[in-house]
Amino acid sequence: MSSLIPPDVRARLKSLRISSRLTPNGQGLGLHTGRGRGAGLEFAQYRAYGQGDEPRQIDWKLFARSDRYFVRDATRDSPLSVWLVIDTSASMAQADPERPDHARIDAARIIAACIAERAVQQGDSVGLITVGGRSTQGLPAAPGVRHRDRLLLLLAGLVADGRDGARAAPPLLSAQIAPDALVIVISDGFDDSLAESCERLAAARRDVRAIRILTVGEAAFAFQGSQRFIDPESGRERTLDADAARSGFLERFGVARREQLRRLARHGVTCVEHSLDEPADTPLHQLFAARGRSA
Amino acid sequence: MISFAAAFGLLALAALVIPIAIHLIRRRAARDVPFAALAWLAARTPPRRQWRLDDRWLLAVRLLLIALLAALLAEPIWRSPDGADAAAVYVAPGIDANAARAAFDAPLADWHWLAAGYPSLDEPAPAADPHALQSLIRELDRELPAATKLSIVVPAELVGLDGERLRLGREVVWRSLPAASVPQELAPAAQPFRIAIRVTSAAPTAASVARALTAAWQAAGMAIEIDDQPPGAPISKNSSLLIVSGGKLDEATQALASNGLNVLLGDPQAKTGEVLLRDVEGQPLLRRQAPQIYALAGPLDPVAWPALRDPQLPAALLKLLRPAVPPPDRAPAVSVAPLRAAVDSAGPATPLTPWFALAIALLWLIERLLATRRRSEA
Repeated sequence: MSSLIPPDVRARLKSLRISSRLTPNGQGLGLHTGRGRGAGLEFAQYRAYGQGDEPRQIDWKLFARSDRYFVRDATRDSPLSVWLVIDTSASMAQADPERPDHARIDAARIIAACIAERAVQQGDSVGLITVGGRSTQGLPAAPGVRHRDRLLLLLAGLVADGRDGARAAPPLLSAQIAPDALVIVISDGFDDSLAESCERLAAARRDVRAIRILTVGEAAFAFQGSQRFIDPESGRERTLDADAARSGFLERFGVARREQLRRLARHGVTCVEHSLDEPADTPLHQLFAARGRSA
Repeated sequence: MISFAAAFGLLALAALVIPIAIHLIRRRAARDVPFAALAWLAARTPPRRQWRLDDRWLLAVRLLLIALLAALLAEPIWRSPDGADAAAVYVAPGIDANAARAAFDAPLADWHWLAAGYPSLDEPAPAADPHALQSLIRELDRELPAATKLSIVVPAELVGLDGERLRLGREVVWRSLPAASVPQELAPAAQPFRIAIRVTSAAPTAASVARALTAAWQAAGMAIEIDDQPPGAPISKNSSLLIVSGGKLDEATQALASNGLNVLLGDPQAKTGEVLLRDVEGQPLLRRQAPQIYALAGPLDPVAWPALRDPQLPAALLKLLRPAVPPPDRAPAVSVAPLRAAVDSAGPATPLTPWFALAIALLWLIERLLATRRRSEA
């Protein structure tokens, strides 16, 4: 199960810390600064002693100064609920001709496994929803190693099979994903409705991050000679000379990608692009390192 | 030095066009690429037609393969270029060895008898076989290295010559010496054409037709002996032709016919046998009913069968019925000196065909490897 993650990626995972820019409100003990007050290291406030407080929580130095009983409150560290939203439309099955066994869906599997691994180590709960496929699969957010294994099992069976006209109705993400959750969307970015649901989720108090997986062919357009390009979802095809089409495609596609990134960023969705020839932890480090610096 | 025995085979080099055409036509056909970002691909860049060759190594191997196949068809042979400045003298048996040595001032040359196996001149003279002489000389010409100077000593009068004049691929010093032993018997004197006529007195026209035929042949210059007797008289064994008026042949005649006696008869009922002569209208004139039995297709009567009156008929019949004469096979050696001809006589040759076949098999393996590797990648 855990063999989904390559060893080198696993080694680098240690430095990854999954965090949300929203304060989690979950129950239990976690690593993230929560909204509740309780036992913890971080000082939150002084509070007048009331019946039921433990006497050892009384700040005796303050009592000496003010002659009143005060109790030190700390912020409680809460667990985060992390939701993985994975696109399983047929375009996710696209791979590069040089590496036909490493499709977008495989990269998505590895990234999701990395997140689940890391979240479990942090004590966070992980859930999974697939969108855009022939059927919608999912797993509610829960903590624990056994839950992680269930999730990996589900991941291993994911098939990118959603074609036009054979697609499950998109699930209502906001109904399944509770507020204050961290949502990580892994897709190829060709589905505009998914981008819109990301924007809606972000507006509804969820921390939404998106990873857009690009094949090397899309990023660099390294095709040569005349090729027949087939859209896996609509089945449309176009035969053209790759050498002549390269510059125009790279320019137009680059503009469209930047435009989409800008639009997502405007709605509060952080999005990074991940090319299939990069290691799977690169987008995660990009997503969460940037957050860590600014926080 | 490689040369080709059948240079026509090199025409197969034209087949070199085939792999080139294949590689041009079967250019990497448009491959299917799943590509979700189709919307950003401009539709205005149609596939360009390219005259570029794919798989250059594969093409090179295929071209080489075909070139070798063409060379194989042309029967490559290998000739070692050595053997220069050697001189060889071949003496026909029947000539005194010492006389030959004296006639030629070539002490460094190789001296051999011109006989089967080419024994050295120091050995006793082998038995003379005049009929093999020309064949032996032709064999010498093919087997000696091209640069070897060939001298041949033959008797002044050659017998047993075949119909083809000697044509050799090199200059030959052709020397004739009087033979030590006188050539054997003279050619047998020309045999006259003995004709037996056995025609019944009941058919006087047949007798006159037979006599007219023989007279016509005599007038044409044939030496003819005629044995004209009534039927039943014995026929001499050395007769060459028997003319009968028709009907059944008796057993003695049949036996003679199977021993080489030609029989000419008139048989109006003859419907079988190979037609040898036809008249101007295409009607059969003469049939061969049995190996030695020739039947005219009508009665031996010029009134009843006007075809007999054809003036060309005796000459045509003579050509068929004349006994075989051995061709002349005797000539003064000077008059049959070998002619220079463009005969391939560059010396002993080793056929390279097995090596070429081996190379072709190897190349074919390589070609298959390259071709299938290509396929498994694609």
